[in-house]
Amino acid sequence: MIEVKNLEKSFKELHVLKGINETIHRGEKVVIIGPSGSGKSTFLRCLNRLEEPTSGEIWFEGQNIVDKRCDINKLRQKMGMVFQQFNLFSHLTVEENITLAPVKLKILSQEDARARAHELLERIGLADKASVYPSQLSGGQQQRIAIVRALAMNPDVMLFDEPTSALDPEMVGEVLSLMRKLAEDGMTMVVVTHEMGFAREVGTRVLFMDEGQIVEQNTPGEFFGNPQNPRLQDFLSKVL
Amino acid sequence: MKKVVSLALAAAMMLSMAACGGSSTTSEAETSSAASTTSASSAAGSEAASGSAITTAEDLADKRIGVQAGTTGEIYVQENFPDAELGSYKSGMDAALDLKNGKLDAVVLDELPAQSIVAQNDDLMILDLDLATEEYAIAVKKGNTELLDSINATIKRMQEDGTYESLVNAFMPAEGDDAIVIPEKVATEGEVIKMGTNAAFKPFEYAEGTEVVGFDISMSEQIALDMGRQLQVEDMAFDSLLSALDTGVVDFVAAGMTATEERRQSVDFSDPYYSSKQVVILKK
Amino acid sequence: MPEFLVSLSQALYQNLVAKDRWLLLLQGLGNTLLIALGAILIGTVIGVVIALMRVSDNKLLQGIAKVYVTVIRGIPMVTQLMIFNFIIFAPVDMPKLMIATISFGVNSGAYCAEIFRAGIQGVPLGQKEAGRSLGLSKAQTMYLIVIPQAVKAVLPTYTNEFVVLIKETAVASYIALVDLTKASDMIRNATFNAWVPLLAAAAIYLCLTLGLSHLFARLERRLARSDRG
Repeated sequence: MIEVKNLEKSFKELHVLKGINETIHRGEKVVIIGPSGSGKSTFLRCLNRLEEPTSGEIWFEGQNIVDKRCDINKLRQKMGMVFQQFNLFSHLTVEENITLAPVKLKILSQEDARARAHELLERIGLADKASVYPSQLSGGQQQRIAIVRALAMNPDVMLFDEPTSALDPEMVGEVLSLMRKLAEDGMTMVVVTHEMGFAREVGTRVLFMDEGQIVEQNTPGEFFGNPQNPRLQDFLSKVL
Repeated sequence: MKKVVSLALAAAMMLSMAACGGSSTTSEAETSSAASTTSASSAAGSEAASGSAITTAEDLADKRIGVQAGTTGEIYVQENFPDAELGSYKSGMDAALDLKNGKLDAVVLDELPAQSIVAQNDDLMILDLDLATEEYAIAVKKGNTELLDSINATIKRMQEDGTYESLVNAFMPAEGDDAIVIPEKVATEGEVIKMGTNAAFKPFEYAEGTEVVGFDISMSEQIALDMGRQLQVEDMAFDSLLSALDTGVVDFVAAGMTATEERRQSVDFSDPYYSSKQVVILKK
Repeated sequence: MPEFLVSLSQALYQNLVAKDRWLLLLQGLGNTLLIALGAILIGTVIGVVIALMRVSDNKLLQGIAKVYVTVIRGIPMVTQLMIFNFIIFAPVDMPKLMIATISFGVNSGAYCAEIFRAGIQGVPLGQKEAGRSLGLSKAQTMYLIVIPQAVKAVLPTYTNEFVVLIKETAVASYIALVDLTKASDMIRNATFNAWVPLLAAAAIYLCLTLGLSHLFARLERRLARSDRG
């Protein structure tokens, strides 16, 4: 589904991604962990070209999205993204946040979009918040709505960029459980996170990134139970 | 789409900047060579105005007339030609500029400043219609007879000892403005006395380099000298002079100001020191 | 009646009532408002275009916008007004009111552009990224997400620009226009009374600017609904 070939990314002098090759298949839940500055967020943001790769190829559903001739806006409709800072549109109500893109991109009519929004809100138990503004919601509520906003586009894959890092501890649970539900429904997911529990339980594959490279990857059981690379062993000893 | 629009706007802006640059060079050339040659742009403009032939005072009645704000010319036009479109400018020269640009049909101004302007602009001419004769006098705050008396004494003294005549010869030479010989500045000292004027009224008061000079300035130096005071010249808008006098910002006003009945109600005037009249400036 | 009241009422009568002088003030006020309103419209349009040029990726457009803002903001309003009247529009037969409106508009455009640019750049990057990540194009993200948020953010400074503009029009008399200031000057000329015409003009300006500030403050409160938390 997503195939990354020799991906490199530099910010001026700083060489952040040093040749990444990776294939993500439909239905996989890939969790990326690693120390801060290891390039895991940059890697994720390259997947929908929020960061422009310096070189390499990223194939998504048969198209190389690094190619300038591809319609990146069209491809992004199929790749939902969830940010650390939620990034709900502050000038729009919850409902408008969810319906904006599907309506403006002519994927759904206004009525259908509204119905879909309510159905999604119902599912996360926030139907009563449809007409409030994001600033009136808690961080956990905002992040769940941000997830729902991405889902309204019916994406083929969901990218999560540290979705719980900006949350107060008591709100982490509600967001993770929504993500878990999503995983159970069969969504393809790529998740950058520090939540080792989530990686172990939900992930089908865990990647360890360090210094711009994928150093080790395995099933959660092997990954956590039998780490090979000394840097991963060191990292796990600190976070577990 | 947005890019196209912004590009088009950008182009329009550059064009207008270029146009602005172009015409500003013309106008520089205009001023520098005004005395000798008529530039192309002002010659082209004169065609437009030539249709509105003005030969008598009555012809002014419905015209676009420029004046200097607060002068007797402005009052005269307001009272005699209520249907005229009146433009009141900060200086006679600004009005003349709009006359040259074809935005006015005529300018009504005191004779001597009008002559100065025409001397510098070959495409302008003076039409003397005997509109209004008037007498310049120095204004002081109402009731300040002490100052008024000493001003009158100085005017009298100057007329008797020949100073007046030499100032007239210096500032109003028969050969025209180019022959003006500005007299040496007379040093005055003592307590400061403030004279209000508007240095846009050649040859009575105008700027020469950084100094304000003119007939009124030289005369005021004599007044200050006789009083043993130090003269300080305050240059301000003509239409602010009398209120400046009223509020005590200046002690007296010498600004080629006509002693009208209306003004006499709020200030006192000295004996008249010069007789002038309003003339009409037209485009040739 | 105390004597000062008598003389005050006389002065008021002389300066405002006699010879219908209040009509002159009214006419001046009308011109002041026309210039200011027309200029803020022109200025807003120019401001939006220049601001978009400044935040665009095109270096040429950026450069043009920057030059425009720098030049216009670096020259006093009076000078610009006279340049427009005596040079740029010298060969054109155009009403003075229009010349003044255009020159104030062009001037205000530069200030508006800076206000709008600051507003656009003040919208958090994450908002833009969220829009793009949903598949919205750059332009859609701009006018659906960034600009609505920027508008709300710039409203206080933008209204302030309008208030500043109203006060700036007081130099319109440099090109022989009768605005509020000039009208009060003309009354002062006729009556030689400094107090009444100047204070009357000042009071009218103050009413205008305070009234506007109040009006816009209400608008801001309405727009601020989404910020309640």
